[in-house]
Amino acid sequence: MEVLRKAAEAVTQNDFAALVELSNHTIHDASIFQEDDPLTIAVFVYALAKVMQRCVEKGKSCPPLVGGIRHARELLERDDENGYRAAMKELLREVSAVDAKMKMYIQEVVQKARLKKGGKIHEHGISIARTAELLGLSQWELQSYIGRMEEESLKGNRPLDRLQKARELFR
Amino acid sequence: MTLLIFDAGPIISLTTNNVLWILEELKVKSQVQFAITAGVKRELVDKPLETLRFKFEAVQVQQLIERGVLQVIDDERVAARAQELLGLANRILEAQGVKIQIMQRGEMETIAASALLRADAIVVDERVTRTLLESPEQVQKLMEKRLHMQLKIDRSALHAFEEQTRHISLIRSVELVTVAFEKGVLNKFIVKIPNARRELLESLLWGLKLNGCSVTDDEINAIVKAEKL
Repeated sequence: MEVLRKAAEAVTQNDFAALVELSNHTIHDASIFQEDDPLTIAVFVYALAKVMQRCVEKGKSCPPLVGGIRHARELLERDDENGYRAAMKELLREVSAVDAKMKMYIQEVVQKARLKKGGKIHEHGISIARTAELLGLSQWELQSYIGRMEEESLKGNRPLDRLQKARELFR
Repeated sequence: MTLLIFDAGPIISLTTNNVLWILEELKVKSQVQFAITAGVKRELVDKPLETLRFKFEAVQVQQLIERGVLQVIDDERVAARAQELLGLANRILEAQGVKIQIMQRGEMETIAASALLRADAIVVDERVTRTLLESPEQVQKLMEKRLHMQLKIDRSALHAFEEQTRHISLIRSVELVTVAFEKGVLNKFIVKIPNARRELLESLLWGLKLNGCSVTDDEINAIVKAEKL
């Protein structure tokens, strides 16, 4: 609920950087609890940030979404989970309905948002396969995306020992 | 005969770098047996065949299966052991009273098959799986750093997991490709450029890294340096 309140605030101020930050923050919870709703919010908020950024850069007016976000929050407050999920789906539909090009763009953005959030979850120590499962991605696309991310070095790597082991296996 | 069991990751890395074919040559040259589990096959072949993206990649893997280069292990004992190991692995770390699900069934099947069939090694590109097998405390440290909180560790689950997996050796696609390079399997790519052999090895290792093999820049440099090219 707090995430949606902050998202509505950021949308009012056209602050897409705050939305990206908010999405990243949500990923912490998503990594631990691994439930659908925090993941959906993280993907939605990130996609929303990208759409807003595009609108601002192209001088277009951003889709009026504050009302929808507040409505989703109210449904969540009333524990109406089905209503909340339907509202989130409607929000994504409204974003994509801005224009025909936007529809294609939003599909791409949502997919990229999934990959990006998947990368973040993996960074938190969840395996690629589990992350792909959580976000409904294929391991093929997630692994290719993660390969391009900067990887933190873990101590204890033994590349030459492993190479020696491989040589022994293929003698 | 030496038996190597692959997780999905290295097959993805090899395929997306167009070097999956080296497995057939390595198998012939070194009398090695390669296998994947049924769960890994589902991820590599069955699922992408139902979509448009990565369909051709799936066909390439299926071709290796049909040619007998990659055997598919479809064994109920593997599935049962995988379930047991998955339960243990996903009980090891806890945050805010919640057990963190760090692993998935398919990758656990690879470990379970290796344990049951006494494979000589597993091939895993994935950092989390590898670290969990070699040094689980590192997974805890990494997660604590990223989540900015202390995690509780279930020592009995960790101990039970280690007991069942301690004999497992692992290599990555980078070591596999380096051995193929050493054996001359990739010689057709030695082109007329300065330091051609070195450039070839570097290009292969970087390609694998950029397509998802967890290897650091320093490790790549160490491997290239050790080859004295």
